[in-house]
Amino acid sequence: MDWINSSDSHILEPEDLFENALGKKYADECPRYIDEHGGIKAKFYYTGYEYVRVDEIVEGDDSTPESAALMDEMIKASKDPYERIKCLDKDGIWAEILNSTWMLYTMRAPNDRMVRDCCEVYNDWIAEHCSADPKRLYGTSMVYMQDPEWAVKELERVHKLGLKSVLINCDTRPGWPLYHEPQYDKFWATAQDLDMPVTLHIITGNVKDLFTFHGDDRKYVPGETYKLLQECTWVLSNEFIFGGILDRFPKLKIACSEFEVSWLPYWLFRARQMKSALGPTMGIHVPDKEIDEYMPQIFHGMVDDSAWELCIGHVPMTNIAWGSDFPHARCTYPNSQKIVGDLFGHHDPKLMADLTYYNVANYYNMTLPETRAMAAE
Amino acid sequence: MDWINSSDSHVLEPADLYTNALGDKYPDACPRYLDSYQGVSGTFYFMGYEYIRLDNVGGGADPERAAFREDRLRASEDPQARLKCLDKDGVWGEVLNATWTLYTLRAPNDDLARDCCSVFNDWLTEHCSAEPRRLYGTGMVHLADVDWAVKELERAAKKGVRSILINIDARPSWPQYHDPSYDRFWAAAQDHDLPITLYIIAGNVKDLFTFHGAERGRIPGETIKLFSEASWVLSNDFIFGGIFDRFPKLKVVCSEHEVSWLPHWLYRNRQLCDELGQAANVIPPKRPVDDYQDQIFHCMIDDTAWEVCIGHANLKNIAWGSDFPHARCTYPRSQQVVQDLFGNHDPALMADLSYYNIANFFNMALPETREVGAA
Repeated sequence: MDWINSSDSHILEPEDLFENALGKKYADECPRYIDEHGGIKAKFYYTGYEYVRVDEIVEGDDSTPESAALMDEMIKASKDPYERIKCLDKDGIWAEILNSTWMLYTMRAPNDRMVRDCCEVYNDWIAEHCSADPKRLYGTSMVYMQDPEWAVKELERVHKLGLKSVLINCDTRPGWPLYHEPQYDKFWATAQDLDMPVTLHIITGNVKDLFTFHGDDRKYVPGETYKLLQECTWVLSNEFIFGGILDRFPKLKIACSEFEVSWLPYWLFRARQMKSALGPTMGIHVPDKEIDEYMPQIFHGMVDDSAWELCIGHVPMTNIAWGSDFPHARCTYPNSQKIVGDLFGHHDPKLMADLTYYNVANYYNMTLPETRAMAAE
Repeated sequence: MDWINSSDSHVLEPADLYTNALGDKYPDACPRYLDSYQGVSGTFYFMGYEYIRLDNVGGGADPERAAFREDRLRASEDPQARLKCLDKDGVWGEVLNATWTLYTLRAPNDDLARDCCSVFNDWLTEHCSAEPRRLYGTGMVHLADVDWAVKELERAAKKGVRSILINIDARPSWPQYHDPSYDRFWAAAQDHDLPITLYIIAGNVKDLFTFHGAERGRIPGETIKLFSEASWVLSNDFIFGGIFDRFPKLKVVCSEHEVSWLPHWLYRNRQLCDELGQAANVIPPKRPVDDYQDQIFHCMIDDTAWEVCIGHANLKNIAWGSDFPHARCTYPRSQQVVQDLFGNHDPALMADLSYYNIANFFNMALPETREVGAA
């Protein structure tokens, strides 16, 4: 069996991470676990803004001894890097890009100061976590974009801590300048100079995540979830391509995480249409380069997109990579090898190897084992 | 040359349509033409809420399009001139949607929006009566007041409209469309076999042509949202909200949203029926998501990625449209555009996409033979 790499996995922040560091400063505002919300007694996480029911977001349940054991295993691995390495070995995964869980939600909190502080606490913790095996655990730092000066300093700091990429708000929060405004250029320049991919992940933008809907509000979930899973497409078009960021920073790397990939042919058609017809009609700035020329700067994570093959011939196959989403609700553990076989196994083995192993390794400059065969390691 | 049909064309409401009928009742709020807006001189249309600069909608400064602008403007208001354009373009029948009234469905004055719908429906049915075998008018119904909406749908049906265009999504203060308060409307549409059209512009996302000045910097992103609005409503209200389960013969038409989004959207809907939805306690629809596709029809104009739908979407429910006379319209090259889009496929598929599918969905009266000149 050959190793695979995951372009999108998650840690679970320790229960007391933010309370220990920031509880005195922010008291009730501080992100933390609670036992009840909206009259329902269950374990919830308060993100500093919204509430998530923990048993919904984490894969598995405690309905059988086997599933309870699996859930327990995954929760432990999400917090303890040595337990995680055991899970990686069991699942045939060499390395993972590690994104946060609760911090994704905290990026939407209204207290800017607290969000920045949470980012710093989180970044220190994830750097320590990944130092257990830096060849296999690639932590993504979190940087809140409300104050671009702070964002640049924090980006430089996390780079020194050894973190390999940076996750920002998927879109600017209401009231902020748009990302294509010059205020942010120093941030993009720094990310480019440090060769740190900038991750756009669901949840961190302006569309409410499905797990934060409760009670009667759940009637909005199907429509809002489809918006949530589209949010990066709006930002890529408006800010990074038509807004000129990718022109000004031609070596900047953007990673779209948890948006899957089969939307790309349609989105490319719409972006070309905006460049060639609608944009000139409306007198807006259109990019100098062809839309497709920006695609090498944009990387896409996919978990289980059953329509991914539609991307063949439309987007560079070198910029797509599978991820496990460990330990979230859709996660493929402990069947990741089987799932990537089902998704990609009927294609050229080289393409499968790219999508499951080499692409993410190249994009994130991962350190790979000398040989890909698992028994050889 | 064979006739083709357009699943999505437009009229341009006459300049004085609303001021003549409603100017006294709504002196300031009435939709009308203006000579300037925000200090910029030009012909603008005020829709009762937003403003559009006319030369943007008509195709801007593109010289090729400008050459046919007069044809298009005349044909948009005069059915006899339109029929000449159809003949020239090799288009047999057209589904005719509004232009300005699409925007008026967003106006905050519900009474005004309703009155405009009634005025439009009277005018459109008169327009289409010039050649009912070839001009298939889509009535407009504002959904703030469901009682009125049911009555207007029935009135418009009697006058001969062949489909009904509604606000693409419930306005922010309204109940969502899956709320039972709308069920009488869906029942009436089903009983009259009137397809319900979900059209861009008529929802909650601002259309690109209504952006002015510095706010135009938001157009690329907002326009992707604009073109996605039907997908949100189809998921939330018609499929997961149970409208299609309660009204299994109701037909919905998605117009100007194109089609290459369908495979991804179907995948996401299936995902919401499976583990992701289950984790968040989403109540799944009664049938598999793919079963609902027969109730949804999709119009496309120039979607260069449409082929991704093959094997993923129901190709009997997709049809080409010209968008005549708007900015993207294919006149007078529609035959060539259709050939470029579909000509490398099985001729039967090309015939379906450019002629038969829309005719079947709208019960169009077709000529005895498809060959142009033989009719």
